[in-house]
Amino acid sequence: MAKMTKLQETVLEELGAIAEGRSESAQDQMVGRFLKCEDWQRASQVVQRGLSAEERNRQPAFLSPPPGWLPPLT
Amino acid sequence: MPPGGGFALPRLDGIPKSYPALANEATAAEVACTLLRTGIAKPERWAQANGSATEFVRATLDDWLDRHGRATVERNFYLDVAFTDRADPQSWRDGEGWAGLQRLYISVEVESAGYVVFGPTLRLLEKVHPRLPATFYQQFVGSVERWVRVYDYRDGLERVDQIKEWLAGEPEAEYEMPDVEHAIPARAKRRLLSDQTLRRMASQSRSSERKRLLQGLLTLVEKANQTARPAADEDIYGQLQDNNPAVPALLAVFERSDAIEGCFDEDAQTMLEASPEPNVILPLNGRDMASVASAFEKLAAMTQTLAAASTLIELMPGNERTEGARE
Repeated sequence: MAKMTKLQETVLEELGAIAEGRSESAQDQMVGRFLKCEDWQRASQVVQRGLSAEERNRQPAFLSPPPGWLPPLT
Repeated sequence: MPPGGGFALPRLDGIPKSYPALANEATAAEVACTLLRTGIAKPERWAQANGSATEFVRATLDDWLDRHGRATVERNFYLDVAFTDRADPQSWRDGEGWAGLQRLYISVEVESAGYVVFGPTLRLLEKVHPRLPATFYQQFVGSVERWVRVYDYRDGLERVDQIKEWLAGEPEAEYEMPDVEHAIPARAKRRLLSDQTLRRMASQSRSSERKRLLQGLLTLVEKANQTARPAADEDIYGQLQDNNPAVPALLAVFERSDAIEGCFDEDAQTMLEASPEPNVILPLNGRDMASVASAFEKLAAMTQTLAAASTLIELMPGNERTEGARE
C-alpha cells in the first residue's frame, strides 16, 4: 500500500472521531443551521405560541363518573 | 376521558428526521475511512464535504463514476448508483435486521429505460452474412444482460402468453393481441456464428461502417466477459421478497413503435406497483479493504460494459442521439 500523505492522515483522524462519536460536528451543524434559518426559527415560534395559547385557553370539562365509581383524582 | 379542547400536535418522537442511504454519520465515517485507505476516496474531497461523512461517501462515489465512463454510459442508460445499508434502497429498515458495517451494498437502480432500435443495423449486416444479424443481436443483448435487465422480444412473447392465459379465463373479454411474433424479423432468429468467425468478419470487413459496428460488438463482448454480476444470496433474496422484478435498463426493439414497444408500454404501467429490485446489488464489508476494492472492481466492469454498449448504440443506424432517449 502506498504511504499515506499528511492530508490523508488528517482526514482519517477526523473521520475516526466521527465514527467513534468523539466529534461534536453533528450537534454543531444542527444548532448552526437553526441559527441561520429564519423559517425554522419562525416555525418554532408558531409552535411555541400555539402551545402557550392552548395552555391558557384550556377549560377542561369533566364528565360525571359512572354510577358507583369514585370521582377522578386530579 | 374525552380529549380537551384545542388542537393536538402529532408526536414525532422516534420518527427519523431523514432517511440516509447509510444508517448514520458514524457508519458513513467508517466506510469513508476504508474508502480512503483503499485509495478510492480522495482526501482533497473532505474539505468540500462540510464535515459530513455521508456527503463525503456520496461525493466519492460520484467522483469515482466520473472517472469510470459515466459520461458515456449516461448517454444511453439512466441509472442511479448508491452506497446503501439495505439491498432495496427504497425501503427503510428501522435498525431491525441491520447487519452493520459488515453488510453494505452498492446498488444500481434504473431511473428510466434506455432505447435501442436494431432493425436498420440487422438489415445492413445481413449483406455481409445471413447469420450475422442474429449473432449481432444475441451477443449485444446477452452482453448487456450480464449486468442489467433488457426488455426485448422475449418479454413481449411472455406478455402475449399472459394475455392468452387471462383471456382463456375471461372468454367474453375483448383485447387486441400485440403481434410480437410478426415483429421479430426472420434474420434475427437464425443460427449464430462462432466467435472466431465473428472476429474474422470484423477484421476483414471492407465497409468502414460495418467494421466499426463489428469492432464495437467485439469490445462490448470482451468487456461483458470480464466478470458477471454476482448472484444474489439468501440475505438479499430475503430483503427483496416483496419487491417487483428489476425495471429494465434498456428497451430493445426492431423498429420504432413496434409490437415489442407496445408490450413494454403496457408492462411499464405496473412495473412500479411495488418497489422494484435494483438491477445490480454488490454486497461488501464496509470495514474490509479487500471487500470494498472487489466491489468497486465489479462496478468498474459494469460501467465498462455499459459504456461499450452505449458507444455501440450510437454507431447503430436508426439510433441518432437526439431521438435515442425514450421516457
